[in-house]
Amino acid sequence: MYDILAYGRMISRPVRFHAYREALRRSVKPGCVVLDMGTGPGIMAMLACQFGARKVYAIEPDPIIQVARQNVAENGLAGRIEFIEGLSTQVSLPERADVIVSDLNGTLPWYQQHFASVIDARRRFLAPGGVMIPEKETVWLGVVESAESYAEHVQAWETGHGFAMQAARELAVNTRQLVHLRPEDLLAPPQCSLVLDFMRVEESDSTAEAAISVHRPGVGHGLLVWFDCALTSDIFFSNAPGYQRSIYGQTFFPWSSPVRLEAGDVVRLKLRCNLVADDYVYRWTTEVRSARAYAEVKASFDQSDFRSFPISPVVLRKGSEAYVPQCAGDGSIDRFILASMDGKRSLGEIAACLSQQFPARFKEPAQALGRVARLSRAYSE
Amino acid sequence: MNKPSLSLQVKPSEDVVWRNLQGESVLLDLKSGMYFGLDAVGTRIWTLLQAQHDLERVLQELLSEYQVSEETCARDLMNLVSAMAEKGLVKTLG
Repeated sequence: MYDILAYGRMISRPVRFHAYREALRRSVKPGCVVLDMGTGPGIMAMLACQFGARKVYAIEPDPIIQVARQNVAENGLAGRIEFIEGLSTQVSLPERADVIVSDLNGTLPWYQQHFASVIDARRRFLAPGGVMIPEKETVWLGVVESAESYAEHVQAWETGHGFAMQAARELAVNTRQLVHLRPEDLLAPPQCSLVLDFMRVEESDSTAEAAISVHRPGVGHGLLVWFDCALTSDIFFSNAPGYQRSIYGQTFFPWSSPVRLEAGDVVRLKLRCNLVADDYVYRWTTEVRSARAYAEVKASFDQSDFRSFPISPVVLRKGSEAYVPQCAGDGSIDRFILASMDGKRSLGEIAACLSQQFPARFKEPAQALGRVARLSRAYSE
Repeated sequence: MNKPSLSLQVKPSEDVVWRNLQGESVLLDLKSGMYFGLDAVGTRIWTLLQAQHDLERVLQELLSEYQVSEETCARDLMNLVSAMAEKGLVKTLG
């Protein structure tokens, strides 16, 4: 989740905020019902009221919702905005909304439960004839020359102060990075590879593909991805290279190694985005064919951010289907606490029992109470 | 999938990403979100299947690398391929 400075940037950067404001101004009709998914500090909800909404449902799982409540009260709108703390997929509304507004993107459209939330909200909360803001997002793929961005990934591991550090380099070239590049960094015109229509999208997973013919010779360092966000049919903003700088930027997916490209070389790109558990796993494959002899494959890469983080085989094995787990370590402590949360005992009473049960682990009462309080915040009603 | 035989062409599923971890490997099925582990020999077979889909040729490669009888190697290869096919980790071609 975001901190207050990040929320501030979202509101103060004009590109995104002005576009959302204008989209709401045109879409919200007097007397209509609006759903603000991920309301944050409540700014969209208050704008919807300003433009005539009769009622706004503002959903937010993060504690920032407390700030939103204060902001709304301060502006005298508490009677028209109903806050719901939680995930939109886990709550219900007493009525359907004429407008559903959200900005659940990360640097890319695929971010955590974004599409699962959008799909669910459209099905359960959108009134017939209602509108979704955004309306659609268009994904672009490009081939980019950016030695500077690439160096961020590999330089430390290739110099290595005289040591071989291939294992670290392997992780680094499978790591995507937020960048702000220029149009001239592209080696060919980008391709519009995917349109995510919020009124029709049915899957959280996506695949974007492109076959790009290189326009100018250079060194290809990777795949650049960005998106245009159409809030309505005629209001949009973009994080394309060269576009007015927004909070998003582009995402750079480095190649395993740089590839010298000639004009006419064909680069086939495929970006798969799959929601696994609570976040996306990206896989990007690249095949470069020579302009001089199409049968010649100059480079072929198959990369994924599944290979971008250090992890031990032991830990991974614990997540496999065949693994037979046995609760151990702090798991026994948490199990004891959860079993004690029976609706009868206070946190202090549970903490006292915990100290007695695990005296070596909790030498100070405050330690036990802190542990119990953490689980209470997460799992109690 | 049909019961695998050495005459089959088999390739890793496009829904699977994998990574090598100190000689062993872990596979992630992007569709199901399930993880699967392979030991060192299984990892070698997986690597061979990426470049070479012909099971007979994979068998010959394994026989050149490991001291094992052809009968045992073929049986172990088929067992692994069958198990992976059952989980959707490999697909047959043709």
